[in-house]
Amino acid sequence: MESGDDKLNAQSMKVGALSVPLAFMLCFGLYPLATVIWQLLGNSAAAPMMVGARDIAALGLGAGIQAVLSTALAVAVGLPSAYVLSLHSFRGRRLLFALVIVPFILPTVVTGHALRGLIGSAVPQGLGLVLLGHVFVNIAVVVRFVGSALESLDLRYLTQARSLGASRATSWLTIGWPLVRPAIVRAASLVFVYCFSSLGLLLVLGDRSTRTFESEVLREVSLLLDFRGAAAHTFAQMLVVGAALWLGGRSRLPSAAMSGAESPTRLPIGRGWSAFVVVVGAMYVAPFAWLLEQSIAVDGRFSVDYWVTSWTSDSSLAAIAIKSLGLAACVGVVASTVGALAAIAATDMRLRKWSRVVLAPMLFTSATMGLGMLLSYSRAPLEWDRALVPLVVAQSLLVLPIAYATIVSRMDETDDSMQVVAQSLGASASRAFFTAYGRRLISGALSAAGLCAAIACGEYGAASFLSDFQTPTLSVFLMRQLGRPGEASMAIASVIAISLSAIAMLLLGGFERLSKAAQKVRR
Amino acid sequence: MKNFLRFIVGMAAVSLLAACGNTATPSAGGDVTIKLLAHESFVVSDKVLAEFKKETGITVEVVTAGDAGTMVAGAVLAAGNPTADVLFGIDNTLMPNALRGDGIFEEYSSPALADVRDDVQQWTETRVVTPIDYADVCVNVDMKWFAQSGLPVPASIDVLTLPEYKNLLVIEDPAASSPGLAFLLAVHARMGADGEAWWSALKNNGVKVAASWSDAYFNDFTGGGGAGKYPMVVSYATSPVAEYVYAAEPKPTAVSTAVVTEGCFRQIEYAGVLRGTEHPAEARKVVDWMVSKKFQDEVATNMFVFPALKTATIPDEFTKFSGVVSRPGVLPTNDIESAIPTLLEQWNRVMTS
Repeated sequence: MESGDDKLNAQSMKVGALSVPLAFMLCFGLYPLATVIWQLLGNSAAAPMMVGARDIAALGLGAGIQAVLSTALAVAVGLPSAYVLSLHSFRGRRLLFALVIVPFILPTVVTGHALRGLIGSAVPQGLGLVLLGHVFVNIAVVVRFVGSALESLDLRYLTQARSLGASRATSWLTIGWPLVRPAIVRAASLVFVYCFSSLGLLLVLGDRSTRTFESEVLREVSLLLDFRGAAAHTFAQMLVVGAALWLGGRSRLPSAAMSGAESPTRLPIGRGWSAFVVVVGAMYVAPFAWLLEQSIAVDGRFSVDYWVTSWTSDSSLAAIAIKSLGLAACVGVVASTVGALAAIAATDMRLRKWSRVVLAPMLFTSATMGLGMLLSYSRAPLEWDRALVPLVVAQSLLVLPIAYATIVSRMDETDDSMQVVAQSLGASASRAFFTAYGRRLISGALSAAGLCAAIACGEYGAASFLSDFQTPTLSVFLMRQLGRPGEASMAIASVIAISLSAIAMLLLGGFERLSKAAQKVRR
Repeated sequence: MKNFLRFIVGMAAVSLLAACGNTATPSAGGDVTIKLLAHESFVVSDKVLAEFKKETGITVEVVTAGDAGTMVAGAVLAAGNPTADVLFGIDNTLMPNALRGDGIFEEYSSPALADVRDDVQQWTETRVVTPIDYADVCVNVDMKWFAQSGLPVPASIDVLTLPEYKNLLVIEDPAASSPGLAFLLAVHARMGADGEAWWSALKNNGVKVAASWSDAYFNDFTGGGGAGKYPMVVSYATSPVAEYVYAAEPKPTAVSTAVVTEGCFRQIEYAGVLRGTEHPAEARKVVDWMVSKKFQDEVATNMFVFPALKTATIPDEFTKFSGVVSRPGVLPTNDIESAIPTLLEQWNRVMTS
């Protein structure tokens, strides 16, 4: 039995773990946000507020409907994708798993261009195209979260249920569903938040009817100097996003007894699912093919000139890629460490709600966050040398919710009775904790590190504020190309986009391998 | 495992402290570093930076902060306690934002102002900014398309509402894009009170509105390399130059886009010393340097704009391929601030009706 002392020990360990993410959020999240809100509300040069509560509500309703539709569609396509990718074995499974994530990683403007280039004018710009873009980008979220839950499902339970006479549907509903439901809810709440606060995709796929609070804040700040309006929209966004995250976090944990498969058993793929895989595969290869075509078709003939010059010129892609890679790795380490510490605390149900503080970066609009970083860290008293640190911190902050969600969902799949058993056998609190959660914690952290590093490669919002001028990040370099007229610009941008995707996929794949290895290690 | 956890917590705490404590120490005497706040399109060569450092001992650290509008908004929020010493890249349409309240600039304009072109002197009467470069926002046309169709290339924007030019023009949303806003002002400068009727006619003539310049140019414009369907796009008079410069070797002898030179808006970009800088003397030197011949000689090649300095060298490809705008649209200085919100609202009303 757990003695009072051990219980106290376990809790103090978790409180200790929680203190780091809390300090991180306070120092790097709350401080810049408070600074910028303070300045927005108190600035004497601001234009008079031009929006009323009714405008804000109308805009929120429009963006809300868009986000709900986007989420429903992303889940509808994402679930079967997750099912087939996680529980079936087929040639190219790993590649497809990595490909699905690429649109999520690329700067959204680039994904938008690839989609527009592919679809042409078949779908007019506006809500329809925005929904399509959002689904395309966010299937990755569903596949990651639900796929991970499915992989931990022990298929033997299903087989047993069916051998006892349950139908396929019944066995899935009673055994599969309770396990994946929390992952679906969690993924859906994240997708909703991303679509509700979308910006880059709208600039390419949207029209004037598809606005979000993000795009409105940017307009108010940069064009109209309506700072109070921007603050009002920022608050409104916090309310909606906060509510979505709260609902997403309320979902009950899966009953651990159902899970526990250490390495997933995969079924051979049937004909129907093969066709589905081909369709999904084509959907994700097509934008790449388009980008590739842009990069090698020069004046209607085939040429690798753009590839050669981009990788070998003075301000070469190679130098920028190496720097970006290092930067991304730092972001992966910082975000997954802080995320893992919050996830440790989250295993204690009383601390869980506090650990969710690390989701807060999703609440802020990117324009306010960028300005906040600029105002807080570019001048006294917290002036920073603008080498690398501010960008690593800012990007880590942005990806922290993903790191946390990834690790927590991995740990939720653990049967925590192991901890009780270990402790009753005399293990110390932390020893018992690691016996139960250690492998999943480390494997989740590695998986999160890869995902965060990959996202950091393509992150543009913070990078456009904090990137080093002389050697920009890959995403900034890419977006600079897209600002230059001429037929060559899209070609060079495509070279960079493909290179960026390849690097991100390597990071993702590498860390995923480590993560799988960590999970299999027996102690 | 307990040790492992301690290790993780310890490492995280140390790195956090290190990060928090890693604050830049302001340089005491000797060589000074001046922070130059610029928008994301700013380019300067390492060579010119190094020469300036050699001559003056001043290191210029470039700090980019999003697009021009966001950068100015950041400077307004930090007015008096600035995040940098000098700002570059505010344009004539954003100047009212910089002058609100106590303003973001200290009073300083370079003595070199006398050598700056007369037609880019707008706002210099405020004595807080110095013009560095200018560029005209104009309608660009795809010459290949026009040659094939046999349709005459329009000489001015006035004819764009005629039925033969139906469904041929793509513009950018003025509320979301800087060239889009400039074009709105070009129309206002040219047509004044008749502007609203012109926009209404343009809408009925099938004008396409894109949300951003890159979307309009690469996806909708027939000359942008994509599968666009519109042979006319709102872009810059220097866009054909960029097309030539970025073209693959061997360079073409002619470019495929041309510029409609009647109905343009002139964007002038300025530099100024930010109010509250700790190094006003050195900051002024940086502004002087930006309008000096050495800096101005490479402005065109670096940023596809024209130098403000009369004596600056303009590269051959600019004289050869750029549209020559002899009568750019200009709005009276005291008209800009009130005009923009009114025009945006009017445009929105026309386009959604």
